[in-house]
Amino acid sequence: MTDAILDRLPQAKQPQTYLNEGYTLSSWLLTTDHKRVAILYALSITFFFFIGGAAISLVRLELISPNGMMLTDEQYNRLFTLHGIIMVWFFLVPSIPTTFGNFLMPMMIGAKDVAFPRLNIMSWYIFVIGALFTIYALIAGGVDTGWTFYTPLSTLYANGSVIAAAAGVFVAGFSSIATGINFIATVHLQRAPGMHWKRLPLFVWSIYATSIVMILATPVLAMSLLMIVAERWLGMPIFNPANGGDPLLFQHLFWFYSHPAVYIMVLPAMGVVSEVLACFARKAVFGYTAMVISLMSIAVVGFLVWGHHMFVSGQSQFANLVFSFLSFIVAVPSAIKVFNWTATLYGGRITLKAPMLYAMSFIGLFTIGGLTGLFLASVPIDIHVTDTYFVVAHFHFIMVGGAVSGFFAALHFWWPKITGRMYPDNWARIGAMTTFLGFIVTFMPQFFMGYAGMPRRYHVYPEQFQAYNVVSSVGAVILAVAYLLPLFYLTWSLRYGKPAGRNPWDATGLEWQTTSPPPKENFDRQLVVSAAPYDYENT
Amino acid sequence: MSRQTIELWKGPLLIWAALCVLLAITTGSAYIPLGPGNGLINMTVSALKGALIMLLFMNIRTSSVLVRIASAAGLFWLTFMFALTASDYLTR
Amino acid sequence: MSETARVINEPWPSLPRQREAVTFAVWLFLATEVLFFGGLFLGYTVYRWLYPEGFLIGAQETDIVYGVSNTAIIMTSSLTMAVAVRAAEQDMRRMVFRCLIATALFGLAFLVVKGFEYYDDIIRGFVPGPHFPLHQTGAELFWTFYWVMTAVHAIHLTIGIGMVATLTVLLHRRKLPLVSPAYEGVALYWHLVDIIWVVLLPLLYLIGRAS
Repeated sequence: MTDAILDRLPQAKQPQTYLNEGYTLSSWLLTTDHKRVAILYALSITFFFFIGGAAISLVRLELISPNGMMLTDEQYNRLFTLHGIIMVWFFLVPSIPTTFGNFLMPMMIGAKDVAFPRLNIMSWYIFVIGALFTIYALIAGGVDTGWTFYTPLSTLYANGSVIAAAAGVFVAGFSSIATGINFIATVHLQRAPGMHWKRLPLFVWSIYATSIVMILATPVLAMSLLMIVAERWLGMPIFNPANGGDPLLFQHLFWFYSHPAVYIMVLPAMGVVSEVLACFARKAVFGYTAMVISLMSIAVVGFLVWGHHMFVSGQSQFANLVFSFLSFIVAVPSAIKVFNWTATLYGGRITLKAPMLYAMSFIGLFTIGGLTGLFLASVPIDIHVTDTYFVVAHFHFIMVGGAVSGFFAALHFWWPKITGRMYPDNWARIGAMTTFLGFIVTFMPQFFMGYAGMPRRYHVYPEQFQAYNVVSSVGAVILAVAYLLPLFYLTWSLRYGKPAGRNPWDATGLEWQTTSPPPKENFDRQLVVSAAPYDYENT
Repeated sequence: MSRQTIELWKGPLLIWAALCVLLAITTGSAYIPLGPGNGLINMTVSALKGALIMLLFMNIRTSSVLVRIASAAGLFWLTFMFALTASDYLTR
Repeated sequence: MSETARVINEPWPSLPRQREAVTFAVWLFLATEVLFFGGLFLGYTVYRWLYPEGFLIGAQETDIVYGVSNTAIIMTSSLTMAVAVRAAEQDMRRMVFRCLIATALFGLAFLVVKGFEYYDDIIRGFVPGPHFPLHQTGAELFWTFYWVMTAVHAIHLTIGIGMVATLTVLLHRRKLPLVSPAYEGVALYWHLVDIIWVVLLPLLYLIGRAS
């Protein structure tokens, strides 16, 4: 019997899944099921992704002309600031951890839920409150300081809703911290019998490493924002040079968080890539131990490099040297991961399904982004390209080419598990290839124009950069189409997609041992683990 | 007062007494001009008081390895912040 | 329903495991608090390094009587909090009750003293801003850190008092059995707030006294 006929039988028994456990609004808003919390987060961050995307679409449109077309300087500044704040704190930082981390990590370790389910749903509400502050700031006209809130501009001179925006980020930070604490406790104390640390999937390790960074870095951001509020709102001088204040103190505190934050954004994507690569190369990830050590090294050493954002701010030469050296060091474990992924592919039986295309995009684009990071770690080069589009291109290669590709790889890999439906692979592959193309056209020219001197955050720019900007903006249109495409075919799949079954990709991993969608308790029995992860040789 | 009550209060009161003595030392010594010695005494006393509270009131002495590592994490990470920031300010 | 059964939450298989998890998680949270205040300590250290004279002059204007009194109060609140947890382990319900109330009262006493201190500070004009009375560079910065550090600490203490009060009410209504890990969890937070004050005392009240 086909599934279609089974569905139409009058007594067709609907299996109990986390989706049909309850249909009321309160069953969703008061849920303690990590899978439902993941969906709530997914809806929130998708919303913000498109808001941040809309903001930058206006910016890229405006940059077609070197003299501006429809925006005032003030509006332009507010749009790129909005783009940064939303994309960093309301999309990228939460993205993979709160969605796929929440949904899958407990399942991957054989647990019934996270350590503290009520804390989990509370973390979503905290996120929403932070989001409301930020939306208020947006509606009240926005902020023009850049997402980096540098003082004394943000504390003394900026017009706009700095305090509301800072409050929004401050509150959202506590959501991060709550999630991080929950995940660390879960990985330590909720593993199924037999799930030793050395048997954990690399995605779980990546979530664990990310959680450590989240809890130790975010409080410092919170304090730096509190200090901004104290100076701006209460008039207490902290960073004002007229009172002896040092603007660089803000930068030290801000970047102490914001550099590790980029690892919060990229480590989970690295975890996803390992899972996807192993599955679609039908081969265990090469060098599991080195991959784990690399993940943890990136997490720790990532805390020691923040001064590379301050090479031209007035930091001492000695500090520049120290941070430059440490920044070179932190690249090493990332490079090891790229080598190990390559070795995973070598000799594998590769199928180029959509998740694999996104994962391979990650490797290529992350490598370029990472290599250009080395350029920036070198003080003399950084002095030349600082505050130009070279830097913008570098971090977008990592954040978009890397982290967002990783997010889409995860979306396409685990969609069948989460929804129980397959999406049309051909459309998905078109989407992946369009994303890659759009990305290259948007961001590759930015390296060249940055090196040639095009400044970042400029509304009006010298004529000689127009050609680059036009190409980049065209790429942005392609990217926009590529990002909108999944909205259509994924939504379509919810109703018309083929039922996925337990393990459509024939992947290893505990999450594939249960039904798609999974039941509320994840598994129908207590699992006992006896195999190593990525046991593809034997499938 | 029952035996149980005395046993209950004995240990904590002792720790509290030690904390009070340390408070007296640090406050009293602040009035003696010792140059950098004042700061040293104050910081040492703070550290001692903090250690007493952590080990004995917060029971770190009898906690698992996992909990002990978690308890050390904050302070350890602060050393990153202070050391590398110092590398800037001390060499300007 | 047994006490243990009332206290265990999903997904924990046993109370000892859940207690371990709560203790671990609270310590992780305390680590975040250390880093949160750490930002302030960093700022204080930087500016004291840059302006030693100004900091001394600013610090001489804090009132050591308030500072030391509050230290004694908060240390004593840690005593009663610690005894409360020990009493809970010994199933001594009335003792827990009394110690929790004492802890909350000491906490409130701290806030009251702080309130009087803030009032005095404001009357004397030691609020950073255009009318700040001391003009050596660093004196005003010291006072910014005084206000922000003590205010953030006071907010944390207030939250702590709220949590202790909640425990007391739930205990009174017999809704939170003594085997719950919540007592230890709240106590750990409370002790950290004490430790932070212990560090703040010399930074804000004990420098500049000998000159």
